[in-house]
Amino acid sequence: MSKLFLADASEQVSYTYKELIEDLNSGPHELSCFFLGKKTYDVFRAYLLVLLCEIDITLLDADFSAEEIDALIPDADERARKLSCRVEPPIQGVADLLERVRRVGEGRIGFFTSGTTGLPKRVSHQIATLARSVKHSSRHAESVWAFAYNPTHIAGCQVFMQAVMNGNAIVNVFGLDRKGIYNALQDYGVTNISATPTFYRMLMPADQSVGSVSRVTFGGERMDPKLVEHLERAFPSAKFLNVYASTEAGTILAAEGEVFSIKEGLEDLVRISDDQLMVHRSLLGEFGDTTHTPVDDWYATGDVVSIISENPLRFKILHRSNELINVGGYKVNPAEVEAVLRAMDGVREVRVFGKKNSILGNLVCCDVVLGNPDLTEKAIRQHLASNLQAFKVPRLINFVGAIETTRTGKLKRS
Amino acid sequence: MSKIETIKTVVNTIRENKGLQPVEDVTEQTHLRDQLELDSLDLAEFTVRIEKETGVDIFADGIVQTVGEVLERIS
Repeated sequence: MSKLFLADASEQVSYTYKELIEDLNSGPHELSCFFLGKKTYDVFRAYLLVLLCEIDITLLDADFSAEEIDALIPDADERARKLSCRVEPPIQGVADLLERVRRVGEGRIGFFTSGTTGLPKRVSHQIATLARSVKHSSRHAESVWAFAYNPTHIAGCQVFMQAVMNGNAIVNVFGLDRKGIYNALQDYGVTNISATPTFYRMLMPADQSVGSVSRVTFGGERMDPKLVEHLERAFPSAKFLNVYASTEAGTILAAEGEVFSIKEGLEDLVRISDDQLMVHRSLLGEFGDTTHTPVDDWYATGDVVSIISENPLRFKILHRSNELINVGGYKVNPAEVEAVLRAMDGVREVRVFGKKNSILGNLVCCDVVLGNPDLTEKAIRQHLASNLQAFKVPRLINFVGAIETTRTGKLKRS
Repeated sequence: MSKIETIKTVVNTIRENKGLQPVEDVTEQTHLRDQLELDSLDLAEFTVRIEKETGVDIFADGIVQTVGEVLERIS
């Protein structure tokens, strides 16, 4: 029987490597240059076509609304652009597939990341840059991955490449509830999990243990040492690893516990300036518009760190220096949400801010000053839900008489 | 209002905002995720609203799963 490629418990489908190869060989494949992957399998196939056919596509989140997409890609012709590609010569089995995806090639992939000026910005990467942190060897051949990220985000792309370049089975647990996740981990004998702390918090209390899991990786948010203690009970055979990656730079650091060190060979490309983590532009992708291009050779990540030792450089990440609200690993730009609220008739002034939360790290909240007293909370919620992804929608709406500003006249966010 | 009524009111506010029908029966055994259909965003909102009413962050010391566990934390 052919090896499992993807089991998707929430969509109740599975694909073997044999089925995948038949599908890849069946081209020509018609794809939108801005690819909206509704199903995880479709996104994975798009990644493989980038690797095999060296195409250039940008991924859109499955839950972007039509309005969000119009704002991200204002040019209708650009939005509608398509490409066609064919896998040549056809793939001759799993060994051939692995050999060819490991060659990586010249393909490019774009992602949208939370921007600091209002709208998410597009960052385009060579697929080779993203594949840099992939390790492939016979030691990884039997790994089974739990897939717990949004497939159209950079973290999802990197987990996918680590798995597929080793011919591993992938079990999609993104969006499952607690019981569904434990069942999937047990049923498929998952060995590796890479996810945000919020995902792991969902597995608490650790009243079950999954012995097959040998590696647990954290990313996207600060890790809480207390959470690791609990997870040691759920995954008694596992080693715990913390990674630092961003949409701009891909994976650059790794840590056991909370203390990060720089990956070998990258020591000259990462530095700390004014307590902020800086990465060299050679590690970055290309920015979709020039207003976000780093001004000199160094890009400020916005992560404020505390140095543990200078040589070798080791440090802890304290918090973000900018105003993005981290909701369970997803970055929400308050300016984007404020723009959506302000677009509503009857809304005079708004302030969007994060409130500390023990489940998600932060929860998006807003203060609203009404110009029209008849405007209801329900109408505002409907407007928000139809214009924004769910994690960006403020969960608490306070109606206030006036909005406080800072001394320089900026909105006060905390 | 009794504490369980407060919990029910908060749950129904969240359900209504999601476009779900309000629930009638809430007991100590009622499960927040499975029976009240609260996802992690909803649970985060739930903690904030309960904290506003009672001053207690019910998830501060780990996850709670049932209405009974919420009552223990806020009593």
